[in-house]
Amino acid sequence: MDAFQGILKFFLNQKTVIGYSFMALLTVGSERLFSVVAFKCPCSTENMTYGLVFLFAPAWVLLILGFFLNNRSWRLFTGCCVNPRKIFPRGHSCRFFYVLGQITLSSLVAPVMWLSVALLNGTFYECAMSGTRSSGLLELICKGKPKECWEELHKVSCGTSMLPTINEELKLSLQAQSQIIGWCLICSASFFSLLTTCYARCQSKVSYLQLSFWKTYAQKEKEQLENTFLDYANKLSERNLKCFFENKRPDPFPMPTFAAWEAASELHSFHQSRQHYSTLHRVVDDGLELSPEDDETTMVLVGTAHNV
Amino acid sequence: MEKFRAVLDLHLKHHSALGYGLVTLLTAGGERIFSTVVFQCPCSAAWNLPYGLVFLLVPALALFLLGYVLSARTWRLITGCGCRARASCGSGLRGSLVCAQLSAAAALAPLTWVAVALLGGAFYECAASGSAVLAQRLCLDRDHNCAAELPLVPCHEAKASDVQDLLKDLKAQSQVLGWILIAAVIIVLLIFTCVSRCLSPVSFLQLKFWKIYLEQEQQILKSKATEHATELAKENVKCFFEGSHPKECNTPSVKEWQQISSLYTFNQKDPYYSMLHKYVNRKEKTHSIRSTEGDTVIPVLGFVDSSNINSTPGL
Repeated sequence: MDAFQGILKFFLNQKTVIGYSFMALLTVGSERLFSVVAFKCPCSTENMTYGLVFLFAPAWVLLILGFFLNNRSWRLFTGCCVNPRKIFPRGHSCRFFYVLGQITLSSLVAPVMWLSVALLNGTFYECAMSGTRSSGLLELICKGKPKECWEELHKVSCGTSMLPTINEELKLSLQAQSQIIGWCLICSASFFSLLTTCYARCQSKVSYLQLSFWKTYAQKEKEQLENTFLDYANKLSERNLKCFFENKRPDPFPMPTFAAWEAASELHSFHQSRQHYSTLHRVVDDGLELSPEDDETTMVLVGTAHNV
Repeated sequence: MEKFRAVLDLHLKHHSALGYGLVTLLTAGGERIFSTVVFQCPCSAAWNLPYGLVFLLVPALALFLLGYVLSARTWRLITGCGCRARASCGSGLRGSLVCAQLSAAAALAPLTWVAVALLGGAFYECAASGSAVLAQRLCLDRDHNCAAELPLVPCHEAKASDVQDLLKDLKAQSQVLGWILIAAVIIVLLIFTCVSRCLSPVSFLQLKFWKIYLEQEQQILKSKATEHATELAKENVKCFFEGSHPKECNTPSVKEWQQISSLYTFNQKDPYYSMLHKYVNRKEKTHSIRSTEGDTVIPVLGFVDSSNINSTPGL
């Protein structure tokens, strides 16, 4: 029983890793499903459109879904037209674009995973490239092959009038190109994410241990917030319904003011002088004024502290 | 038991995401069943186009109407509309905004159906092979019999092999259209959600609290209503059988129920979380909460009316 608890604890601690692995498995699974069930190269002049749509439309959908499911984007956008001062504070107008950039980067993970898996498979790229009408690319692919290659390349996935060995050769070379591009994409994406993480950590004014504490605090605060919401919602609705059914006047029920809610919903930024670990912490300590003077938006907590 | 609770919590937190996922899976499953079991292209020049279009569009229409029926907001808008005064039905701009939001929410399932059906390809293949306009475009530089043989293509009965190859083209067009539809719908959804969130006068955390409050209110309303109804019923039945007079029961009057059932409007001065909350906190006992200065319908607060006493899980 202890061993089981230990294993469970280990897995719960590795939540991010497990989350990403799950996403990767899901992408692989759906890519397999697509290429077996839905994808059939038309072997005509429309190959290029077909292949490119199958490659990029799911990537686009995954990007938008990533944007939807990121809580930070809703924190950023809620109420921005009604009170633009909130997201474009005096002297720090770039902050909005900075946060938007961070959100986009974290939403790009799933589409890049999809693209790498689809390219490693090779079917989509093979279909798209075989429909190319650009003479430069045709020269590259059909060098040293019989004349039919130039005219019937789009039929290579379904079998052309050329010898089966040459057909097979063309298919294999297109698939090989696809897999090379796929691996290059995986390598460059991982290298880029390593660089950005290193740069962000380098820039961080917060030490390593304090950062770990910060992450734990953010998680705990989120849990406490949800429990308190539930508690207060319960009490308020009990009071309202009791008064409705028994036709009585309600007792006063203390709730945070409108301004307090607004202040607590702002995006958090860390100030070395004040050391507040969340917006709520700052509001409770300092009151309801808008962001003070020296502002240091840390790059470090991409996707961690603000997933309320 | 703990693990089950955790799963249920997950369901409550990501309620809408799970709901949309379920709708997509159901439409995909339904489309698969339809196209393999029920759908058989007639392969005739006169019937292909109407047959294909009917299979593509009629289930979409049915799902659209079902979307209206299953939304609690529709019934809030419509119930009692005929008997009460015209103004209470949601006059002019307010009513049309609510209708627009309802239609947008109801349109999601039919669009999913059309997208999945296009990705499958069978319906479009049949419809397109019966269309004279498309036949002209597809049959350029081909057999002179192409236009005549095109309707036979979905049944694999075309004699010329290059005409039969057009089936793959039709399927490809269908799938490309399906993906373009999905991409367009999702970007429109994102833009609409961003704009409605942008225009929200209520902050992020307060919205979160609001949603939790509504769920709790519906649960407690259901349990209190059940309790009250049981008491009232017991009293009435007892008095019927005993032939005695029932004691005074403090049930809310018809007017009170009407007041809390109207569509929610937001007022910047007194932000209440539901019509019930507004009613209970009204200034004078006989004051009506129907419409006061500053009441507006906010798109992002549409979820207030959509909560349904019958839809919350009985925890």
